[in-house]
Amino acid sequence: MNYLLKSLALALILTPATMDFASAQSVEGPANSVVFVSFSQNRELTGSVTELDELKVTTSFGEVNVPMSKIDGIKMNIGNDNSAVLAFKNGDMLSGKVNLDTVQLKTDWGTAHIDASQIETITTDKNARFFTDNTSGGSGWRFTKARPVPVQRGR
Amino acid sequence: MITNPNLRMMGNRSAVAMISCMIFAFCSVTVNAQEGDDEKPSSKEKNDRFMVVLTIGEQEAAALRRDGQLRATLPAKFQNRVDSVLLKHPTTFLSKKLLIKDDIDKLGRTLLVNVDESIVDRLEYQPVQMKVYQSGFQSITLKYLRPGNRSRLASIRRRAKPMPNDSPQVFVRLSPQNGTTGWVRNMKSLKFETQFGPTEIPLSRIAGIRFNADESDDVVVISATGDYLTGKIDLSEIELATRWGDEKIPVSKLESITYHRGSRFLEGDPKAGKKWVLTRPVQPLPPSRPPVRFPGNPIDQGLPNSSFQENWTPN
Repeated sequence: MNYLLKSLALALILTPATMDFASAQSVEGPANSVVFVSFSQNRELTGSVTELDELKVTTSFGEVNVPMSKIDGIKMNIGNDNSAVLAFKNGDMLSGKVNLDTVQLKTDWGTAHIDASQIETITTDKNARFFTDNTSGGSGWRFTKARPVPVQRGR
Repeated sequence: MITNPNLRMMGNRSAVAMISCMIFAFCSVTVNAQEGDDEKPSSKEKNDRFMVVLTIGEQEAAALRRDGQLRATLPAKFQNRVDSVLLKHPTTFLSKKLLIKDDIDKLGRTLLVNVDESIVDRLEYQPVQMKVYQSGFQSITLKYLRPGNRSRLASIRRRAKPMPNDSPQVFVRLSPQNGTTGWVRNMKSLKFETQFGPTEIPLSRIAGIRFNADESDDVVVISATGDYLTGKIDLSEIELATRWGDEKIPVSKLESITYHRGSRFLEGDPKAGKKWVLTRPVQPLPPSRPPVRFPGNPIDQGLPNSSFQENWTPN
């Protein structure tokens, strides 16, 4: 009960006071696909994204619509222009500005309306993480679902 | 002093008879000149004609561009018996030779072989054979005609020029060892089918394209911003405008297209999320003149390795 109240309070904090639904994308989301949404200060929510089937992304080569079902992870608000990096299930990576105001997350306790500007990552795997790598030139974002190697303590 | 182990003499006994020429064309003789540099040919051997093979790898090409010329001394045994000079890269895309007739001069006792950037660039694509009608020379000098200095060759070649619909100038890699620079005709952008549908990316936004990437994907595209996209293309060949003319290259033979010759696609760690990594271009050779020892010639490993070591003398 205590956990439920805490989660509800968090959802209310993250929900913007006013939401412009006219500019937000409004499409059906992939059914029953659990995602892990992380925020600053290691806060995290688990649930399934609703009313979001495609992401409209403005890339360096134009605007594309990316099905959410093809995505393994999204890292939001990177760089000075608050763009995002999308990691696809097949290993592709795409960067661009995501036209997204809020994310509706259906959780065990109800639906959270999350301000997109507060989100750090959305991933389909709890262990998934984004990291930078400059070997290919450019921004060099990478994505892995591999479990982090635990640090062995000396005797 | 630059030592070149790759100068070879190949005889085809062309002067003996036409029939012999046809037979020996398929079993060219490599002569080990070290065995008898100063030997005079017998009266029977005097009729034999030889092709001088000069292998121009990346280091030789860099030295040629830097110093303006490369020189080789011809052993006495082969003087007055050279009927052609073959310029080749250690690995070439096409084995078919380009035959040129008019770009050789004789200055005193030196045979001057005029080459420009189009010839040097072309060697990675195919060997270039130049007919020799002169005699009485004791050395061969490759003379590099710098861009803007029109050789006689330039007047007979088709010179390709980029058109408005062509790509920016790119380096098309045909194998790990070779490639050529040019403009892809009618390709301002690359159309391919991605995970999120058909996409068209301007080539000016692309850092590199890896063709024939794996069994399931035709291409891997790495954008200038570091994006990594895979997909399928509906393209059987590209038409490349090179310094010497237009060439049609099947997509199945393409390795990659990059902006810089030094950029390469290397297989990355799949666990790290990327199958291919595009390396940054390597730094060009410094403008100084360090002594360079030329490497062996991998394509000629079947031939006697010690054949005819000769000195290249850049001036």
